[in-house]
Amino acid sequence: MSDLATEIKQLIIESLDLEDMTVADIESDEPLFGDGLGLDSIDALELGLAIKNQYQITIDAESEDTKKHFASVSALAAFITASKEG
Amino acid sequence: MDDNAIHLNVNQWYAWSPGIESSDDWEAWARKQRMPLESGVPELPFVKPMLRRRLSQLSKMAVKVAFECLSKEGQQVVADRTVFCSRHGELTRTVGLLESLSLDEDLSPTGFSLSVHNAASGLYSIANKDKSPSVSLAAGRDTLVEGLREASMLLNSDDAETVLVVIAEEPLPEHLLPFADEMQRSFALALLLARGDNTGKRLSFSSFDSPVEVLTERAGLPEPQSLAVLNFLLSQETECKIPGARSSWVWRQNA
Repeated sequence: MSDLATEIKQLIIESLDLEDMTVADIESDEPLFGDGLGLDSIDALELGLAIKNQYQITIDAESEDTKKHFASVSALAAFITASKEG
Repeated sequence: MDDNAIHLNVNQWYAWSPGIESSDDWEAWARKQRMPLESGVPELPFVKPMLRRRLSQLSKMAVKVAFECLSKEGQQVVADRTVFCSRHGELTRTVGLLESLSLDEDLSPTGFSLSVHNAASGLYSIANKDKSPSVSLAAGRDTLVEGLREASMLLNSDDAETVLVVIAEEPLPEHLLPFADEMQRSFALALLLARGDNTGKRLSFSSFDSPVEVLTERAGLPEPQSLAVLNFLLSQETECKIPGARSSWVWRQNA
């Protein structure tokens, strides 16, 4: 597991108050919303804000790609890496 | 009997404060043999973790007493109506949001969506799958009185046989403490009221043009009205005068 993925999992747990969860409980490739972790639309906004604050990247709420970036921890890690390079 | 009095039948009650949960705890509290702890969080095993994480301390206390009061022989029941009361509501969240604004930070979407006065009512209805109509109100120091008056109107004019009244309060955020006019306590109280049911405890209240000495506050801030009423409910007294916002209230109960 990459350091960035672990960092994102930690951020998910802290920003979304997932009190009973640890980094090990979140699979990097499982869906974050709906079936997998079971996050909802408020979580999406909260997580977007946390990522924006921690990594100083802009997230376009209107963009169709944003949905893909938030699909899983792995997708988020790829998105953050690409945004920081770009 | 006073014609202006509001008469209620209390079928069930449940109260929670840090360190004071069981009815024995509350009786010891009423005898001044037990004091609440400084802080504590109510346990909510009946609320799923993904929903529970969204509840503030205030909502946790409100949902806790609502559930416990509606728990009958291990079964969860619902009331025909619910009335959720709080003098200051989710003020802790609101002050947190204002602090973020003052620092030019983005607002937490969760904090924003749950800073409304009916947050506790909404979260309770999701947790208990209760679709019955609900009222959320605040009425200063008379919040409990007005919540019970609302419940009485629902019982008398609506087709409600039972109404659950919940009141939850927590200490004011630090910046606002200088404005406090009551003792600052974390607590929640739920009362299940029924229409024309004489099995419960009969309780009534009416306003009372008090002579000055009744309204004179003793040294320090007075106890919140709802805790004074709970103290009365737990006593053997049949009558008690409790100060309100603009008048005092005379409370009566059957011994």
